[in-house]
Amino acid sequence: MKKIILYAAVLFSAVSCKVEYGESGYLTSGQLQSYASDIVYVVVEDMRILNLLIDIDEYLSMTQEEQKDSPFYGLLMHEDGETLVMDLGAMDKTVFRTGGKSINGTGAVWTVENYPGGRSYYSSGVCASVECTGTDKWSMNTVDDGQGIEMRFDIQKTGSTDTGRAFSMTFSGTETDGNYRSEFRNEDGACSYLYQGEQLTGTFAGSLIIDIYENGTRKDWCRVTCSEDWSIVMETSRD
Amino acid sequence: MKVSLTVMPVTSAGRCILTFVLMLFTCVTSIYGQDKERVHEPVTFKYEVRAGWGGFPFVDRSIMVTDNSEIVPPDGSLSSLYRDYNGDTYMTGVFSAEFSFNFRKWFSLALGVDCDGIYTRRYSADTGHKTGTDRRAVLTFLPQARFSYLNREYVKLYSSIGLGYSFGTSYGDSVLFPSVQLTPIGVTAGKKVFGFFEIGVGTLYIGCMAGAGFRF
Repeated sequence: MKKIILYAAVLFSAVSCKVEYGESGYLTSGQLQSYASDIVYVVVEDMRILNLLIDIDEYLSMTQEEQKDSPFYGLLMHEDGETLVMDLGAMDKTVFRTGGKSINGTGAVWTVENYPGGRSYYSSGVCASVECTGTDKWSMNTVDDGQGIEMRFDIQKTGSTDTGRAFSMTFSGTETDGNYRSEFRNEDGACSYLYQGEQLTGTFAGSLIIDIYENGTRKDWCRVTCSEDWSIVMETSRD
Repeated sequence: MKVSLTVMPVTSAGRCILTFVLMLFTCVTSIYGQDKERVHEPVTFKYEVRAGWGGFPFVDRSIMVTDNSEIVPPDGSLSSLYRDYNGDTYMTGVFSAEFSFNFRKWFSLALGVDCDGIYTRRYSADTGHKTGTDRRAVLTFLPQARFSYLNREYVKLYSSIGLGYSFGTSYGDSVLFPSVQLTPIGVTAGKKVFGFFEIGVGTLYIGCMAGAGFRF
């Protein structure tokens, strides 16, 4: 019986013809670099949450006349004294809870639900919790359930100009997807971020390391170094 | 393992096939039981078996083979980076086995079973090593009416038309679709043991088939 199966296999192999070329799916350095770029994007997008809260805080401190000239006017709505909602293009409206305090007050905790950030349209919306830990200092936790990404930031505002705000931050995060898990964090000191308004991405500078694990075993890594002149250097385990 | 069955639109086609097969059997029995006073030229060999291999099965290819350009690329998530990927896909061509009833020198009814194998190797995106093989097959049951218009002792020329069903199977999924095959020209060479070659078009294959057989 085994011989018959073997002869049949040889016969089929001899007469078979190729009808479709295969995929080029082997994991390459380029794909790891693309993944690392996505993680940098997540870091930048999460920093924009803090800046949005600072902008909202400034809006809430304005007089009614001053608010009329703000882009938030007519878009940011009170649900109650401590809850605001705004349509930012997510599936549901984004909800901000202020706890009745300014984001700049030590001990204040603001929360955000359904922020349309995340890595891609696969994101189901980001939830964030931001606590003011001192003068111009915050800690922020973000969760993107749809992508399985959680991050934690410690942020210090280092400067403010007419064109934007400068920050220094340290961060760490994880992504969990089935048997796979990635861990990422800043490397070689704090990173910097220059926020230049809602219309611009901003400038991220610093070094980021990503480790990828399968069932607890390290499989790949990637290191990203961004400079303030927009140059990016990437190294991966598949170089 | 849950098996789903996809039945291609068969309502009118299925009726056609059933009607054809019933007509075929009606003709066959009427020919067979016809007035025995009529004198017919005796059939030298009442039965025939043959086996062959042919191609190309275009319909099987379009239904059972995934076009790799339609596969969704990795979405950037971790698991999609490490998902297995398809290697080249191969088809064996159609292997055919047939039993024929020769009712007249010019007419016979063939009952055929055909099989077409399809396989794709899968590889790990992480290591590039083979992780398995996806195997599929299409089984066709195809009764055919065969008409010989040249009957010599060692050479016959014929045409045939067949209607039947094909059943395609893959892991956890199946598809059933009607099968129709037209052979405008075929030739057999040999008396008791013969070789054959035919050109055909239909859901079974578009191209040619060749093989050998035995009459008794």
